Amino acid sequence: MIRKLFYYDIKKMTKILKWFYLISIAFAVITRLINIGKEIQAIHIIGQVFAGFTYSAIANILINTFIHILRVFLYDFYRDESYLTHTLPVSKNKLFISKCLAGLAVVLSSVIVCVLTLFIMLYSKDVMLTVKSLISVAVSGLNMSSGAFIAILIVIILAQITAMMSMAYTAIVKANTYNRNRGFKGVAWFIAYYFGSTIVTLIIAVIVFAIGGNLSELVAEVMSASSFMTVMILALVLYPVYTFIHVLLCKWLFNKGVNVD
Amino acid sequence: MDILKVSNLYKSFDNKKVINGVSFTVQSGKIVGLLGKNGSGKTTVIKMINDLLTIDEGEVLINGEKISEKTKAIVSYLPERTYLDSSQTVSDCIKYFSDFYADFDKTKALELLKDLGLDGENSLSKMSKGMKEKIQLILVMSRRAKLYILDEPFGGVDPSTRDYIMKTILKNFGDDSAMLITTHLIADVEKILDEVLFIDNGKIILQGSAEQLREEKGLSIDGIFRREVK
Repeated sequence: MIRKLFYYDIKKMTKILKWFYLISIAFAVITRLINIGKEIQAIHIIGQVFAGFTYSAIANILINTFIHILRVFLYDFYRDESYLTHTLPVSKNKLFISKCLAGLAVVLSSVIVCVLTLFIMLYSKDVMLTVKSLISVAVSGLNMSSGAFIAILIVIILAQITAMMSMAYTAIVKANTYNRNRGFKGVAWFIAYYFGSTIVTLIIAVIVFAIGGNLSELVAEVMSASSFMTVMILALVLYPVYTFIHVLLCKWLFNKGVNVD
Repeated sequence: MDILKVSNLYKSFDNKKVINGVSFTVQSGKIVGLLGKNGSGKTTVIKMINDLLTIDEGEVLINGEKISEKTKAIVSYLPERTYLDSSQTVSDCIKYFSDFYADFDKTKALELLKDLGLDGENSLSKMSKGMKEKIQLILVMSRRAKLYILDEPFGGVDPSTRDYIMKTILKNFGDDSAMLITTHLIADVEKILDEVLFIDNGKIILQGSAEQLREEKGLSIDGIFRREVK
């Protein structure tokens, strides 16, 4: 049953997003083609305009990914469509897990499309050399390969997005335990969860750096390689912990039952 | 056999009691009317039975079991609003019901849709509210459920649609099933009711066999309702 739920959740979440994916890739291809003749001034200007469209399309995907994931969660669980969702012969646990997995899959697909769009638009030997040299500067002293560094960065970005998504889900469920001002309370709870976790992160970072005897590095303009590594490890540990805590809290609140308008 | 047993239900919103100790049963083969004026608590009771509202106190048993995925598999519920995703086509809705409800009779649904002159490719977004309600009713009544719960099926529809709804309900209701209908339009529904429950201010104020009540009071159910509920 969870496979069916997942299928319908993905279908709903990507109903509009899939067109944004296509538009983004189409702009990247057009920009790429236009840039073949970029030596001509007029074509170069047109190419720049289309590059702008492509970047806007990427921003559009990132924003809309969040909007659509949260919209489906809210509408399926607390608006008119919830009258069907909650009367399906499926446990609340499965309904919840399906939404989490579908959200995660959509975030992942949006990130892949954004990376693919940039790759189509920008790929050239020169660009790759520049990127490689920038990364090699960044990894010097970190004692790791460029590939591992990029992989860790991508994991951290995904972990951060996932943590934010879990906070937003929890805020929606929490806000809907009230009878009034649910929209306002949802936003307020999200802000509370987000800033709460930021403060906790800061406190943990201060403690970790103080124990290591390099507290001043936290406010230094340039961070040493070892301190940068510590920050990456903290991010790799803390974001999944926040996600786990919020998923548990959200699931617990959701399983207590809903009060649909 | 009691297909639905509601015992001592209570529900409050912002410290205001809206359901105040409601108890009743629905037996197989019976059509029961939960009748009350607007705001009397009919929909709140129905929503609690369908797991759409938490229960403050009391218990709901469906086929002898507490509300769960198992009980939801035998209940076919028509809410008083449109819950179908309007970007879907009629075929999408049928596929959705077939995917989730083992008791959904696709052939029956397609036959009923044909009677309405609809084919699968019709998009819900291009349909009127009344037409969407008819499709919802077809989907709900195309299940071979043990308990049908219809919340205000006649609310806000024209007389010909009312006739259509009534016909569809009667045509598709099996003897081994039970039905709970809520409405404030009692005159339209009273001829099909076996039992009635009058609800007012979150309390059941009168209940019994429709036939018996008519005989005892010498009035129609609509007449009794008008006298009892001020």
